[in-house]
Amino acid sequence: MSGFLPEHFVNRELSWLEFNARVLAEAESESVPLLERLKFLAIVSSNLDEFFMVRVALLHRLIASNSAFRGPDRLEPGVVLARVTARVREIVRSQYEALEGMLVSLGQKGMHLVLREAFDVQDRDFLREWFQRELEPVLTPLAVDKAHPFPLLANGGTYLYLQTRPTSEVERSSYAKTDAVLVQVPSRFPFFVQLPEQPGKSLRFAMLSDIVACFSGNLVAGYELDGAYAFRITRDADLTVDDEQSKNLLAAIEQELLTRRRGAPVRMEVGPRMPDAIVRMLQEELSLSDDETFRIPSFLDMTHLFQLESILPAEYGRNEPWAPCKHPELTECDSMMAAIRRKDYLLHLPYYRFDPVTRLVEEAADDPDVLAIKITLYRVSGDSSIVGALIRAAENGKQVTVLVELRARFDEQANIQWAKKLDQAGAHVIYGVVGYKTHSKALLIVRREPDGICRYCHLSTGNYNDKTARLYTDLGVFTANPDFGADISAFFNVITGYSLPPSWKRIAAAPFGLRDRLIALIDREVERHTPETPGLIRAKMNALVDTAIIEALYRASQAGVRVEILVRGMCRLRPGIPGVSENVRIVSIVDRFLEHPRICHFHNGGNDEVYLASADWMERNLDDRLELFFPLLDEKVRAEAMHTLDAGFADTVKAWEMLSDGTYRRVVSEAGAPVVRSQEALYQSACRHCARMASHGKENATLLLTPRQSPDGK
Amino acid sequence: MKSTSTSKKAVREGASLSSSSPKVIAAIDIGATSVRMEIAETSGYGNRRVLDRLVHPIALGADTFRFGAVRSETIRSLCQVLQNFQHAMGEYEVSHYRAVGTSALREATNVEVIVDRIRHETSLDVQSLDPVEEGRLTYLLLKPHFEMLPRVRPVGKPFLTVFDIGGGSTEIMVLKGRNLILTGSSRLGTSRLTYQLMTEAISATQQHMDSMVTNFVGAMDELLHDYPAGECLIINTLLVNPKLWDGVSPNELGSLRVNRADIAALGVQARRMAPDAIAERFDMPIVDAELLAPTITSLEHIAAYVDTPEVQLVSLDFPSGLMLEMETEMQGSTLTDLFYQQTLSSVSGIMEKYRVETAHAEHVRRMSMRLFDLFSELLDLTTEDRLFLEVASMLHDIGRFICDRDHHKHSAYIIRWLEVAGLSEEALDLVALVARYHRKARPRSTHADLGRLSSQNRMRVIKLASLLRIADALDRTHKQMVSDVRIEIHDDSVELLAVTAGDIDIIVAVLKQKGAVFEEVTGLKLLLRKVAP
Repeated sequence: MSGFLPEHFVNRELSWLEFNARVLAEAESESVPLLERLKFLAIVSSNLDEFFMVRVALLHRLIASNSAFRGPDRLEPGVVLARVTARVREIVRSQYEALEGMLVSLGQKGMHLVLREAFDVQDRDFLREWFQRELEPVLTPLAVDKAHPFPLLANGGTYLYLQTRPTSEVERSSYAKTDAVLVQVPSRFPFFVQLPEQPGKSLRFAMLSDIVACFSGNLVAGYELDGAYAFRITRDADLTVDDEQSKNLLAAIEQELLTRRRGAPVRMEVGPRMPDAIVRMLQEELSLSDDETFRIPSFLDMTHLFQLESILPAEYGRNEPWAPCKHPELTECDSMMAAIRRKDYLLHLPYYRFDPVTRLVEEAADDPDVLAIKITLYRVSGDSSIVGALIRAAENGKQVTVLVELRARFDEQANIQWAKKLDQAGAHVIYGVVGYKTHSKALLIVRREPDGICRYCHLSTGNYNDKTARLYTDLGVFTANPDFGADISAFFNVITGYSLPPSWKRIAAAPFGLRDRLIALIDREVERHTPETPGLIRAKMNALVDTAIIEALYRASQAGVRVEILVRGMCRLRPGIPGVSENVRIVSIVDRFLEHPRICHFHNGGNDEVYLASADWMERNLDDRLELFFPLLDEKVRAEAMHTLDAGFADTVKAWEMLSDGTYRRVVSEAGAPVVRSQEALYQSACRHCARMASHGKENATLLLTPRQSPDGK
Repeated sequence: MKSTSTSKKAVREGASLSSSSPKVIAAIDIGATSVRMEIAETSGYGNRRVLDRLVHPIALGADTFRFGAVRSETIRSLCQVLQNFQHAMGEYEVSHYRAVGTSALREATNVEVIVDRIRHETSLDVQSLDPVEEGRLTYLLLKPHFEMLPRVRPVGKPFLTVFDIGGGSTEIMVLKGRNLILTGSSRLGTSRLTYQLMTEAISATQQHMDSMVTNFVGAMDELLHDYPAGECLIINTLLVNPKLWDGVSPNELGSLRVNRADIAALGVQARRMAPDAIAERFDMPIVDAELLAPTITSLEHIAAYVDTPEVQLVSLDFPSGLMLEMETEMQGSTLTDLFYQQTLSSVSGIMEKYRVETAHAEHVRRMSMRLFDLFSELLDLTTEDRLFLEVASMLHDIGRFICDRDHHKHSAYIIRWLEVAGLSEEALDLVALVARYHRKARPRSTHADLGRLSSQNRMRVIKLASLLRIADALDRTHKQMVSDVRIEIHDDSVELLAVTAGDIDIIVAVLKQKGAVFEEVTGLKLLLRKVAP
């Protein structure tokens, strides 16, 4: 047995909620520009929606099935659910308070949200006309009465409960049974509708739910409207495709998209004015209790704020643009492959442009000596030029193998379309691997050269998605190292089902022993730990959840090894427990870009090793996904990756330190110490790199100087 | 070796390749439990860079050794795997490949159907590998492993025994130094054992397996009892898995050295566990897990029989052997050339076993080789013919082991039933006939054994026998009087110049009768003249 106790582990759901609370803190922060704060509010909501659809739904399933499953914290699912609900209520309350404050600020700048009660005659005329022309044709009232089964409500859709009263005519007929109708607020229309200008108030918006409520009186002939109350249902949407049985995964997913709508409700949000009697009735119909019901003080579904943020002008307050830098060497080189053949390059997104990756695929597609291109596509954006290049390559007669992961949660529809296009172009398209989600991000190019076959790899922590490449921080390495060529080629042979896994030369892969490799590296750090060369493990990831790895880290801490980890989201490890984790420091950074890379650094007795990975340290990643873990062999590339870690741990602006009770507190710079915002520092360092290249030519272009922090060379 | 159809793409417009560029070749080995492929780039013999290695489990042996034939659904899976492999070959535009199947394919009663289905569905040409060629490849691949073995053997046990434990049989080699002196085969096969036990539905499976293995290993004694082994090398891919052996780490060639206690412990464990538990515990495909118990049991018995404290476990990378062979062929030579010395050394072992009179045999061999080199052009003979003649001359009197009378006939059937490293059954048949005609009756098509050969092979036998008869005549006295022989060719005759200090009258007399075949074949009169040394 491990010897660690349940209280040494934080509950993962509660830890996740703390992450969302840190996102909310960005929305609350006065130092963040107004429109960015709106966006953070929207992110909090969209995060919560997914959390309910997947994690809370899972808790309900565990409770319903009386499952004996417990996390390492040993908490009963019922207890977890109660704590989760309580914390969500707190977060939602703060979120709406923040919204209120923001609406005041927006008003000061000239933007006004006009509620239904405040529509003037002019507004009503304008909106009535718009309603009749645009909305009315698409509204479908659903009767709620004893004669009909309760209507099926879409997951995440906002509905209006329209309380009806029959007019005297209908009262005389025998059909006079209808108490109410439900109507969905159409999701295809913008939620915020601009109203005619008024003096001094340049931007006025009405909300779609108010417009529908206001003009729906005539939807049901013979009835009068008595009241309109908004509510919203969130359902269990976890994708549990039965891999073994599904003959055609593609078909299974399309089916799954439909069944998603039919999952059990896990949350109901109701507007401020809905009478308790109606709430009770809905609860009864949907088998929900007060625990799953959330009374919302304003409009439902703050993800609509994404729309508002996008239409308001920049004067309202937006981040100053940090235009991604052109990677100097990879932009000026005549050929990507020639450059990579000479040495390895690291590309740090989004501080640098994603172009070199696209360029590499495009060059490969048109190069007559390229024989094959293989790539894993997990979340492809709609207009991906990479997909375009792959199609061209297939048409040019190259062997193109594309693994399209159809189970990237909530992105399936986009991926299915691309998969079909590639297939038609003659590429060898694989729709995922039965039983495992392909999460690795790898590109392999096989090229015939005068001295033989050369294989080029791009291995990354981020997806081949040019949209997220502007928003997520990620690291990717370009290399022509033959060991990587052999390993990645073998990895593709494994994921295409051509071969059993080999013994790798350099990489490690999940589910083929990645956890063991990580634990072995942690244990090695313990073995090499001496007073002269103290052990040091530094890492960066999105989530730290895997019990076996956390236990290994505890053992390392107990042995005196310093453990410093940047964990953006969930962290089940508790730092600072006496005798267990005193030497562990957990820091979380939440800033304008989504922190995404997985890096780890082992001091290794002075012979530092740095690895990148596609995997978080989670059971899900290490057991149920195909993941890659690879060392950075080139010294300069390794230094660049270590610099990323340095910057993160030095952050005093956007960093949070995890406390041993599982809560977080903002890191503040000590008096006199420099103020560091790591994302800004990394961006500036990229800009300086470009400037240096422009002024000094190409010598020492990637030489990153690391200042000594103390006289003894540490 | 085959050229791939995809190679046409290599000359696609724009491809800028000089002819000296490395070639990409592939080798596929269809084994009893898996199909393996290696794709490599070669710039000449042994100068090779592996690009990809693929392994896909498929239980061909389960069908062959259980039902005799490979079932249709297994053939379908095999074709699917090969289609995938072919796709992988396309990614490198492989120019040449070789695809072979070993015992599980060879011994399937529907081997032709399988090969045809594969050709139809993948356009890959698969060859069922001749056991002799398999042996040659095995030896070739083993060579580096010999270097890793302890140099000194225990006193009185000078031999190295190699057991290649396969699905259908166990192939045995005995070596002295690095020379192969004996080869043999046993019906001890792990897949065969597993599936025979399954079909027989025996409750006391383990005891039954034990007794079967005991019988097979007992039978090996017939072959091995004169060759006490001081060192034992086991070829078996399944066993060369460090996960099976606690605290044993592979040497630089990936082979493992295990002791009898380790073997016994694993045996106990493997026989106690169900295959799925074995697969889980040792992280191996289920088709392999099913074979662990019979394999380890076979190893236990072999190790006990050989009585060495430790054995060396070796896994042979068969595709890489095929590649060596392809590289050899690309240089214009054949594996027979490479293996020539091993064949001869294995023949020497046989001579010892059958107490062949070495001085005479050695002399006849020397003379026939001399004659071969003098007449090969005239008679249009090949390197392979030279090997056949050499073996036949070494073994022509082996029949005396039975009885002196008609010993040429005894020689013929003994040779036919021998196992000689590097010689196929067909080759041994020819060698046997050459030896058979070293005396007495001249070769005639009416002789049944000769008559059933193709006319081309019949001519080979006659030409080689004609030389052997002369060589044998030159040592008629068994006193090795003639030290060398030279020739002078005239318009209508050949004059043999025998370098000797002795009397040649008896040789002249014998040649009158024995030289007739030569005269018939060449149309030249054979004369003999003595030359002083």
